[in-house]
This record gives sequence, structure tokens and C-alpha cells, in this order.
Amino acid sequence: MLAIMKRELVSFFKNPIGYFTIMIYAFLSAIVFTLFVVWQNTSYLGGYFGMYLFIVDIVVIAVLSMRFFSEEKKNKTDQLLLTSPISLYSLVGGKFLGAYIILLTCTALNIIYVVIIDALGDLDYGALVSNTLGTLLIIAAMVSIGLFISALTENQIAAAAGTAAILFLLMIIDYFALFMPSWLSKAVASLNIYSQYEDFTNGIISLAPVIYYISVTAIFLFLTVKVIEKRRWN
Amino acid sequence: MITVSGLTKRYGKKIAVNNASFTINRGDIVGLLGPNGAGKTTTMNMITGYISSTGGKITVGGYDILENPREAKAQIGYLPEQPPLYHDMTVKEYLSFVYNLKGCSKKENIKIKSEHIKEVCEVVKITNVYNRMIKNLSKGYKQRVGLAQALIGDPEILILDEPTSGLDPKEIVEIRNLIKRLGTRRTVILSSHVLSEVQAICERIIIINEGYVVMDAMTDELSENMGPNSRYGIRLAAPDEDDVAGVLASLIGVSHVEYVGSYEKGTRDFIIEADKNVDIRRVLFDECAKRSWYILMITPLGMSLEDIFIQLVDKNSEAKQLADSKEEIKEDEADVGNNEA
Repeated sequence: MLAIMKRELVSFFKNPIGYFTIMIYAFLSAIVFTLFVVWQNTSYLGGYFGMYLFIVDIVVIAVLSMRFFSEEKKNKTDQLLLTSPISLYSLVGGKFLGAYIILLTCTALNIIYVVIIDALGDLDYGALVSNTLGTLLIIAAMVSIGLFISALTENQIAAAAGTAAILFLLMIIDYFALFMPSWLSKAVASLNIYSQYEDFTNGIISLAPVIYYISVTAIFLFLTVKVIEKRRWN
Repeated sequence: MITVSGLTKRYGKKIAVNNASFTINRGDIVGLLGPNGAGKTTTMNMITGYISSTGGKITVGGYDILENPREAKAQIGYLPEQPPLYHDMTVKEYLSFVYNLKGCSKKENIKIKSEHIKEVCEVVKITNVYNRMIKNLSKGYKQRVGLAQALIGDPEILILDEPTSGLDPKEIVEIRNLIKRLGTRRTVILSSHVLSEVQAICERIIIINEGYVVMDAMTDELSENMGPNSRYGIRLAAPDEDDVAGVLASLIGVSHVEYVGSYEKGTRDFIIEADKNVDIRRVLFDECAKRSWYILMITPLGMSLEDIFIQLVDKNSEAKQLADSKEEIKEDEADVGNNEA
């Protein structure tokens, strides 16, 4: 698992596309910070650590999803991975950890904004802790969904577009729920991956969203393993 | 070492491998031979655990590839038709990754990483490109790096899918020699549709066509077992006015004589086919001595692998057609029976 994780990291940071992705993240997150903190003249972290920042994460995960499994299949390097004496869980776990660390590296850029708020305003440390934990959890869930979609196709463009579309849909799905009958709207709204985050925005750490994100992560990693396994049987 | 029994792989209605069974013993160098699309790669992919079978069983070193995949895969080094290379890595980084991936540091008999990788690089002669990016290497070197990857972890079994495809003649000879050297202390299975390649490298040949194993024999036994006749090429120094071909054709046991040409002044070359029960060389010697003809050359000619291959594939197709037509007749009879009822 560690070998695969290391390979993902080395490959990402060795290629110009890796630094380009980080640059895009820095640029878009700076826009979010300017719009929701600087222009609002507030030190409220919930304005920054929120839906718009996670949409920036979607861009990064979509770029990464081109590489997860789609690229391996396209270049036939999946033959090396799948004929090596490692379990599919180690393979998927290694890919997940590699992508997760890349996302955390991007997220670490936000320390700059935290320092700016702390220096110029009144930083709510409680909210900082809850938002940090929430961000770690929601990113894990998003990466696992990206990993799952990448395992479904060997077309890299389809993997990136599919990941971006589905993650974005899961962020705004409750808007569609408004137009649905009440019995269905509740079920559909619960699929919104962002709605579980709202407690973290307000500095509250409750067990339900923590379990929700861990469950989503585990389920999609499990489904990724099953998709790869099923393909071998076809 | 490897036991394959009743192996079947279906892709929808298409049967890629049909009830294949064979055993490969420790130290064997076996060639899987067949035309493109015969099922060679599918068979190899199932043995290595890359894809699962629809039916049948594969054991590698006593471990079932589906029930104990890790133990089974740990004994195999696999070079697929397209080497599984990461082009954004150097050779050193790539082999280091493979070393970690295969968990070699936990194996007792494997040297420390840098030593083991260097040793493998020396064997496949890629030490001079050790620090180069894989994407910048020639096809021949990429193939060698692929082979090095398969050798990492010192596996007992090497499975090589079309290892010389796309290489230039010089590289082909080098890779063949390398495989022969590697085969001295390993079990090797290689696939190819180039008959002479399998003949040059392998001791045993398994011929596959349309998913069926149509022959499994030692390389030198193959031509001997085919057909009822023995063939010889002979060069005779005989006077031009003599009807040499006619005399040869009249010898006991000779079934066919073919004049090939004159490749040496005052001589004529023939190919004669004779019944296997007759040692035509003795009869020929007596006759030539009687007529004061000189036998300058006599060479036993086995059937070429090309001939054998075509013959087997034809036989197999005929057998299949026969089976299909029998099946159709049965179905027709059943239909007639139903209609009458």
C-alpha cells in the first residue's frame, strides 16, 4: 500500500501538471478568500471553509481522477499492479492515501489565510479546529467518490468530467429536492454531501456528520475494490 | 509447478479459452504457440491472476490463483505484451517501485534493494540506462526494463507474452539468448505466434487455436509424431544421362521423390519421402554403390513447425466442423421428431 501511495505522490510532484494543479487551487482559493472574507470584512471562518472552497477541491479531484485507475488501464500498467502479490484493498488504499495527501497539501495552503485572519482579525480557534476536522473528512469522502468513478472507465476525460459532475451534483442536489414530492425530497436531500458539513462551519463537532463522512469514504473505497474485482471476472 | 485443469474463459458468447488442461513442471521452458486471437494472452492473464477464469482451476506452486492469489502471484514474474512501464519514472525509480510493490524487503532470500536491482540490471544489460527516463528509451530497452521488472523478487516462474514482438532482428536475438539464460534456473512460459522463435527457445510446445489446446509435445518430438513418412534431403553425384529420380522412386518404401536442383557442379539434390518402417538410407546406399553414384549428403528433414502448425490447425478446424455438423444434424432430427409428435 505504501509503495503505491509513494508512487502516486512522486508522480504528482514530479510532473508539471502537479504544480499546475496546486497553482490552480491557490488561485481559486484566493478568489474565494477575497470574496467571502476580505470583501465581507469578516473573520468568520465559515465563510471561507465552505461550499465554494470544496468546489475548488472538486477541480483538483477531477484532475487526479484522470490518473487514479483510468491512466493505469490506458497505459496497461494495471497489469503490473493486479499481478503483484498485493490485495485489491492495498491497491485501492494506496491510491486513496496518495490522492488524499495531495489534497491535504493543497488544503495546507489555507494556513496562509488563517495566519492573515489571526493577524488582522479575531480568529475563532474553536471554529478553526472544527473546520479543519470537517475539511479532512469531506475531502476523504470526495476523493473516494473520485476513485470509484475513475475505476469505472479507462477514458481519462470521462473520468475527470464524471467525477466533477457527480461531486458537483452531490453539492447542489438539495436544490433539485425542492421540486420533488416530500417523501422523495428528504431522501434526495440527504445525499447532499455538503449539508452534513454545516455544523463544522459553526464550530460544532457532532458525531453524526463524522460517521457520515467516514461511512461514505469506506463505502466508496469498498465499491472501488468491487468494481475492479468485477472487471476481472468479465 | 503450474497446473491448469479445465480452464475456460468466456466473453459473452465468445469462448476465448475452452477447457484447456496442462501441467508445467519446475525448470520447463514452455512455448504457447498459436495465431493471433488463439487465446494465448488470455491463458497467461488467467495464470498470472490478472483476469479470472469462467471455469476450471489454476494452481501455481500448489497455491490456487483464486483462493490464495498472493502466495501464487509471489512466485510469478510477468512480462505482458506491452511492458507495464511508468514513462515518467527513471529505470532506477521504476525498479525500486516494483521492489517495494512486490514486498521484496520481507523476503529472506532477496538481497537489499540497491544490490538486488543492480544485479537484475546487469542480467538484462540495462545498467547503462539506469538513471534515464523510461519514456526516452528505445523499444528494445523498454522491453528489457519490462523483463527486469519481471525478474525483481527473483521469481521461480517467468511468464513472457510475445517478448520479442516489435523488436529489430538484433534485439530479437539478444532477448532470445537472455530468455534461454534465464531459463536455466527458472520455469519459463512464453507465448509467440512466431514458430521459429518457440522452436529456438523452448523445450516443449503447447499449441493453442481458437481457445483449444491442439497439441502439447516436446519440440523435437513434434515433427516426428506428425505424418507416417520420414523425409530426407540427398545430394548425389551421378551422370546426367541416368534417370536418377526414376531409380530413387523405384526403391522399396519410397513414396515420393522431388528434384530440388543442382547446387554443386556435377550433383543433383532430391527430397525423398519414405515409409517410416523402412530405413531408406541403407536401401539408398546399396543402390548407389551398385550404380557407382556418390552420396555427398544425406540429411533427415523433419516437418517444419510451420507445416505442423498448419496441419494441426486444419485438423482442429475439421474436427470442429465435424462436431458442429453432427450437432446440427442432431438438432434437425430433434426438430423433425418434435414436428412429427
